[in-house]
Amino acid sequence: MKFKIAEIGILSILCYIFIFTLCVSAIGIGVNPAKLELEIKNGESIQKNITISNPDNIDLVFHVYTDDEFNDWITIADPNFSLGPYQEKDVYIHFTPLTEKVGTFNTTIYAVALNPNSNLKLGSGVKIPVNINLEKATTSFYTNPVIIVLILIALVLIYLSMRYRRNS
Amino acid sequence: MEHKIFIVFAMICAVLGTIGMASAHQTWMEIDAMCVDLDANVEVRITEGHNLVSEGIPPYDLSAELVEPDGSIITLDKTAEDEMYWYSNFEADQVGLYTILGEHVDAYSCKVYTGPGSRVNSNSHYSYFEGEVNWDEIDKSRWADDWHVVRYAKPYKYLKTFVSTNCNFYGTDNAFEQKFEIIPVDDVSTLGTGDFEFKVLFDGRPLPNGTVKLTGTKDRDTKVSAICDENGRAVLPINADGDWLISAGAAGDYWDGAYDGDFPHGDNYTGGATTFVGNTYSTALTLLEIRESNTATMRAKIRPQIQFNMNPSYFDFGELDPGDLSDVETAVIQNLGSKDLAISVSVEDTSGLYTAGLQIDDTLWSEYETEIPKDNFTSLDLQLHVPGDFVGSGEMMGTIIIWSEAIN
Repeated sequence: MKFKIAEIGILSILCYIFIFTLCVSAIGIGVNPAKLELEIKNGESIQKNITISNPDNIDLVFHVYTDDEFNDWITIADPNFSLGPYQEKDVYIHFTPLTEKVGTFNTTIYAVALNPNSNLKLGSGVKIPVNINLEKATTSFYTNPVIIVLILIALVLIYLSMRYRRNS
Repeated sequence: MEHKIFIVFAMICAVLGTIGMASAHQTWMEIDAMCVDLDANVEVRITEGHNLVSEGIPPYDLSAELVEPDGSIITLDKTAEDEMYWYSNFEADQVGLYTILGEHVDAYSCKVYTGPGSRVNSNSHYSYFEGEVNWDEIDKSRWADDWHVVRYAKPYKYLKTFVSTNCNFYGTDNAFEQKFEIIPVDDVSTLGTGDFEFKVLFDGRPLPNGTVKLTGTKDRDTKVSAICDENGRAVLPINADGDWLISAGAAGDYWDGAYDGDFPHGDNYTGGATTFVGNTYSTALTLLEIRESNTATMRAKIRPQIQFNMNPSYFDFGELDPGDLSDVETAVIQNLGSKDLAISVSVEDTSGLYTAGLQIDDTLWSEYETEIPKDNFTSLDLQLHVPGDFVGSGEMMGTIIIWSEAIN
């Protein structure tokens, strides 16, 4: 009898610890920076990184993604990963605008931490606003077609004048 | 009355057999650096002596405790001792300020005016006796004929110093409930650059104007002192870099006892009741020049612009029937980042249970919005209202995401 009571007591304590563990753990996320401001010239691409951190004492699964319509422009390297307690990770994001238009384009990058151990999944997410200022690419003096044509015309004229002098 | 005290002294002395002579030592705490790396092992030493020169391990009762950055208080047990020091240590595994507090309760001490030339190799006119005194066994041949007991008291000595794992000393101006405590009012990282204000409290309150003398000691030749005002405040001109011991004690009269005349004295002493009998208090705050620990590298941890967490990480709305309203589940969201946050909620499921029935603070989840300033928190009351026409059964899957976005 005494043994049974002790057994029940131990089981109760273990159950309490289990329930307590489930209840007290927190789910969180840290992100730096809070927003991205980009200036990109047409035809160029740039890379930025954001730091994702796990501020809590449990393993968490992280997902980083963007709005569907910008999937072609924005490539996220290693968008799904896990972080142990208090770990952090740099996520590299490549921006390659696929348009000839210039102007400001706004989108959002989403970073979410999920607790993988529950049916009703709970997550902590961060929305990182991204402002992309797309500028017209400036053309170098020596690659400007007008300059190239003028130089060619000048060369032809020099050649013709030299030939005329030689003949006369 | 005089005979009674004399007899009591003699009896206690006979029992304990303790008689000694000592000067009034100062007790203080030592550490290697006030800025340490996270997870550093911090050695705490307590010693006594004069002018920051250690002369031995403090005798009798010695204890220390640690106030950690999260506010928890732990006892620092003695890990070792040698001729000079009492040792303890702790692992600084939290980011922020650690406050180390110590208490040294010494034996009863008797300060006796013995006159010029009474002590061999000393210019002092006073002799000190530790513990109970057997006056018959003391050689008084060199004493002046007006020798008399000036003070018979139990010394209580309080010690304090700080260690920070991020070199941020915010919070050093808090009171840590020491009975007699020196509080640096100015930023301790500016020590050595000029006037520095301190506050001294006894039982959490300032003593009357003129009661407490505050002294800053860098070495034997570099000392400054000031008298505390009615608010317990005093300014010390600390103009030299380096480590300083800030100490406080009675400026003149003691405050926790009474003056008594029933003590032995020389034949020609006519001073009357001038022996203070009671408790004496001193307190010492160790402040080191801010320097890096062994690694000699600078370190600072900047908080992410956005960081928050939600507690708990699991909700169980229980067993419910269509039309039921679950019990309230409360979640706390804490803003741990450096920016204020705007909070919203998204819910996804395939059954429609959560999207149709999850309520936050009595509104549908999609309408819920709030803001949490940095270093603040908010709580959410979640309830699940199962639609009356809901036809699913079993454990329902879904995803709730608490979204945050920086404001400004």
